[in-house]
Amino acid sequence: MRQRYSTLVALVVGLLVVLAAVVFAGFQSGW
Amino acid sequence: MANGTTKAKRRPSRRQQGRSTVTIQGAGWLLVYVGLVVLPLALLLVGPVPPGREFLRELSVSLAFAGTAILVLQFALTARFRRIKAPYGIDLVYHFHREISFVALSLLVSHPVMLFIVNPRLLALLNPLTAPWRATFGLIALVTLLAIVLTSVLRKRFRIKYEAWRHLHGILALVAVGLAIAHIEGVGYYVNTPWKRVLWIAYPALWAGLLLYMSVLRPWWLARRPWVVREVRPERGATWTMVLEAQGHPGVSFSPGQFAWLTLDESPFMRREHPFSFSSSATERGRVAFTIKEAGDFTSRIKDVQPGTRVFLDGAYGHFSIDRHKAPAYVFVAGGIGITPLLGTLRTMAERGDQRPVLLIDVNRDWEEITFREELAALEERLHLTVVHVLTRPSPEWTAPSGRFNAAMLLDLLPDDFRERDYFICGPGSLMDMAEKTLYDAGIHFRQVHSERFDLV
Repeated sequence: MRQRYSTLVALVVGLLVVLAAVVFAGFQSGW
Repeated sequence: MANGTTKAKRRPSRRQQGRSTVTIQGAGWLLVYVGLVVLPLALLLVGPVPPGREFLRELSVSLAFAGTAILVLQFALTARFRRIKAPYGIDLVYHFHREISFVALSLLVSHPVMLFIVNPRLLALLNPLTAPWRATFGLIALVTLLAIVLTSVLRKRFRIKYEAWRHLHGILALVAVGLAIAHIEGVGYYVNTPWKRVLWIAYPALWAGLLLYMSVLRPWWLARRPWVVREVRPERGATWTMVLEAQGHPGVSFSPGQFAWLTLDESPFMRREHPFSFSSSATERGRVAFTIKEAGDFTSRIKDVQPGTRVFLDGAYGHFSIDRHKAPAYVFVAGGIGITPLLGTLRTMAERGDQRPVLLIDVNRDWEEITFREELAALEERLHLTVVHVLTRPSPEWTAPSGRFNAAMLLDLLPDDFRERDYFICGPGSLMDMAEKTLYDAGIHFRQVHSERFDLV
């Protein structure tokens, strides 16, 4: 369970990071 | 549920307050982590920014920057900073280190893939003979990263020894990050001002410096606080207790259930350390004991260790402690050598005169193999302790619980106040999985269930 929790946290962090990357790319490509 | 609602209206107990502080600390460090990943990416948009290109190409680049930032922070996650690890427990931080590496790998692999989708002619960059060096650096960095992940996930299948893997892991990590930075600097599109250039060199260097701290500064500190083996004595079940005494320093302060990294008869600079739980009482700092079962290359050598051998001890670590998780009563579940941290806990409780009720379920193969059997019986007299032995291969005359330890057996053994108790589980992975699942299914909150695992690679 604790390990699944850390997997979930890694996924959430991954999503946040991807979101930040999308915002970066959106900003740069003039969205 | 009704019960839960009534509880929520009450003033939170001290125990609940302690837990929420830990949760806030945990969430705080997580925010810091996300910030540290995203910040170097955001800073690329400060000052003169190069002209934007098509979305997919920009996304490919930003994902790669984010992936590299995660990679760089991997050094920080394994640097054994007690403060950062405290809210989670060291095993969870290592687990996060492992899981987030898959995220970084996906982000970094998607970088060239997206570029190839935007412009298939870029596939030519995969040929190192014709590609510019900056592209080849990126390619090798990616291959190295893949090698890091594969050698970690499949270490046992590849039969790589732990110590060799650990050195390999550090070296490959430095190579991968170094080449990734060379690739970024070589392409230079976003690091278009001197300060951005410096940022993307200094930032990785800062975190990689932690590896230096761990491999030079920390060992130097440990070398000045040596320990010496006083005694190695056999216990039941192919197990040995090694007693250490501090030499010229007051020793180590630890909580019951915690563990330390031991380096035996070698310079701490070799970094051939192994984690072991303290089995002695936490009330004594200068003389400590570790109980070790013969299982691998290193542990089977313990019995041959001579008194007088120098040992270096890095500790204490771990959250698997009743001092960290305070409860009115406990259930301990031990499988085989998993008894070690729990015996240390019981010994500490005895020294402290702690009379909180404890049920210990101790699962072993047979009666003769039960490590600390006699001492557990003696502790039952001194503490408010009940020991239940479960034997998986008992002799015919054994009448108490026996057979494969399963959910029904565990539920059957739980005391009436089982919802109020905290649970400490230590043993083989399958036992811990079963016990954790059974307890959650029985309605125990996961924060009441504590376990520690070290079979990550």
